[in-house]
Amino acid sequence: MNLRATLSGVSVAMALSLTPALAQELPADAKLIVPGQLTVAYRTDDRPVSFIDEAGKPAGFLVELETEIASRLGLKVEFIATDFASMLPAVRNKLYDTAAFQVLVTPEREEVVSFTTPVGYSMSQLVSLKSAPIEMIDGAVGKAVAVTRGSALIPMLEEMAPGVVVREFPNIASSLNALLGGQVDALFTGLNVATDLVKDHAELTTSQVVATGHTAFPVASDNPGLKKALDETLAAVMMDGTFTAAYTKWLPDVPIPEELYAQYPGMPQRDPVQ
Amino acid sequence: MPETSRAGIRFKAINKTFGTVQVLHDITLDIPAAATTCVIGPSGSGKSTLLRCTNLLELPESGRILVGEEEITAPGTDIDNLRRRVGMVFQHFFLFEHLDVMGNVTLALRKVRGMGKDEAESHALEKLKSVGLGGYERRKASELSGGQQQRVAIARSLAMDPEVMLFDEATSALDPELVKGILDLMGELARTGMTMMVVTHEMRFAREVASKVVFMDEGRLVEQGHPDDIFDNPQSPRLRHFLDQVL
Amino acid sequence: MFESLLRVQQTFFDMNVIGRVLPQLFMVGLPNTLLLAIISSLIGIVLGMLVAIGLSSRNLAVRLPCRTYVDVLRGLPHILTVYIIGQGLPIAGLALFGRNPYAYAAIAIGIIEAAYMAEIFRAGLQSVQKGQIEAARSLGMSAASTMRYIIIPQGVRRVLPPLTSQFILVIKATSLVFLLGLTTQQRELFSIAQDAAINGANLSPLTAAGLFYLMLTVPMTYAVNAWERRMGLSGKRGQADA
Repeated sequence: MNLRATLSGVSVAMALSLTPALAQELPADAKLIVPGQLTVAYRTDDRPVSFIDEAGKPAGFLVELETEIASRLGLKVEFIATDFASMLPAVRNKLYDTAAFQVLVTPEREEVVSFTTPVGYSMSQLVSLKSAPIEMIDGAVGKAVAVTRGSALIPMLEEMAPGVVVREFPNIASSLNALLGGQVDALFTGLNVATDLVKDHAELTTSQVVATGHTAFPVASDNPGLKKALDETLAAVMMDGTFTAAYTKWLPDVPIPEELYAQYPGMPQRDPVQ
Repeated sequence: MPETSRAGIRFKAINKTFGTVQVLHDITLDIPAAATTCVIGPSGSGKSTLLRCTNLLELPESGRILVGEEEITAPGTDIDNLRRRVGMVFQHFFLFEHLDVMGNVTLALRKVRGMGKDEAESHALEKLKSVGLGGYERRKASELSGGQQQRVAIARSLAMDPEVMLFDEATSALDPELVKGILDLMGELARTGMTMMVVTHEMRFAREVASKVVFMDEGRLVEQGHPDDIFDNPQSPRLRHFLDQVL
Repeated sequence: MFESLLRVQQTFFDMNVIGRVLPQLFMVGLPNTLLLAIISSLIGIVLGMLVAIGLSSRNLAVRLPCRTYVDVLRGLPHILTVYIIGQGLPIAGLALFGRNPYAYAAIAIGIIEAAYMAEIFRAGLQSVQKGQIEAARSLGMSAASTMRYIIIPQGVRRVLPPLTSQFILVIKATSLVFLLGLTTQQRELFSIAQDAAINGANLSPLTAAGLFYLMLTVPMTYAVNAWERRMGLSGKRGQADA
């Protein structure tokens, strides 16, 4: 299992071709579960960010990013599939070094683990039926809106549209079905997912985009050495355009948030989205 | 108390097959009304099967059966109604285990004859007393001896005031010391003028109580007649052979 | 070693986290779980008994659909069945219960449980002494009366243990309603615990929910056993079994 994951990690790194890997140094006090390897939790069902491809290998935007970061630190990489609910406690309990998840940073979560510098800025939209569209966020007041359970988007939506009735669904597929079946008036989700949905379903439309916090990689709180290494490598990946290239490849229709450019001043920007 | 009419049974050319085995060959037989007929013979002779044809627990392939004036083998016969007229007592009693004694006797009274609770219970009590079980109403089957259970079974059938009573080896599963009690009860019943068709191995009972004895062997009716003739003067070699073995 | 025990305690038994989630579990989760469990069980019992009778029928036109029903609903993943009823029907334009996820869930869980209960009941019905059935028919009782007064009362009592197990499974199966989308006030025990676990990155709420489940299942088991004993069923059977 180890060998296969390592081979897949290596092959993904080779596919990255473009930028030459710039070596980062791993601080002496950085702790790794398996020496010489970055052990990364990932999701199998969050296309195109972190998922399992037809060949059964971990793939996706954040998988590629984590692979690149590991490679620059001179580490092998192993991806282990897990679900969202148990992932943060598992990072704290030293089952994984970090995760290839879009984790929204909240004060509650910061009590459990530390986070790197921002990897993304969450932008979200309402998706509704063209026959009964909701255009502005406050149009959700008094309506039934589907959100993926446990999502940190829920309190944010309730703040932006007081009186909204939020129904939590286990995944985006069931939220979509509920919308198509008229069981809810809209669904609220991240920009990249919303864009995909509207592309695949002609009867759907989207609302205004709102900012909903930032995402980052989790690290165990008692591992500042690893956090420092990840932060520095992340910054390098941002500044030399590797991040931008990967983002454009995996999320062609989604713009990079302005807040991210502001976080890493000078990072190359992507071409505008059509 | 009104007299229940007593019916006789007539079998005409009855044939019955189980799978590939023919168990009844062309049986023609009269069971006289208001009298006791005992059917004897070795195991596998078809006695029980013939008995079970009388209340249509078994269906003959060909032939006719008349209970009283009703031809029960005719199509369109109301089978449930027939069984109100023909009572049956089984070798293994088959009391309803989830009901007490009173419940066993009153169930059919209430659900088949439509009696109300009080009427059913008083009628049932009368029958229980007549079999010597007054006072046992609240007991469960598991608390009774085999003989007591069989008495309840008899009371249960009698409560329906049938015209015919069928007994399928009613004492064969009882401990020896309990057999006499049941046979005495059956004798009493016979003396009330009930039509009884009794499959049995108890030869003394047949001789003392029956007005007619029928000998069957290998699915055929071999010999029939008055008990004295059958036991003292058997005609057929097979009957003689059988009597040698059992008496 | 002590360190790993401490981590276990922090992950599963953090009393602060449990304390924060207890009120919701008690006031919202428990009633919702209980209500859904009871309604689904009732559907399961009634439909299950009907199908069990159908499975014992000599008429192929009755037996075959019942057999198919049991095989399909036991064999399909329960999640799929819940989706088909709760989302498939509305998408097909048949929103029979409006927007109430509990109604769809009750039907879905009910028909799933009915399939399992049908098999349990069938075994019970067929275990009733054939002789008693003949004795009842010989008294003139109709097939339906015999079923109702002789076979079902005894058949059901014989299968109380596997039935109890099935009820326990129903109580836990109620968590499937989360698939159909719940508002915060609609959540049952498991979804409240899951949400708290995800948001707080701690599994202790699930431990708390687990305790609530035990509070439902354990007394129920004891109650059924007590009733069984009162019916005098764990005693010896009549000699007529010889």
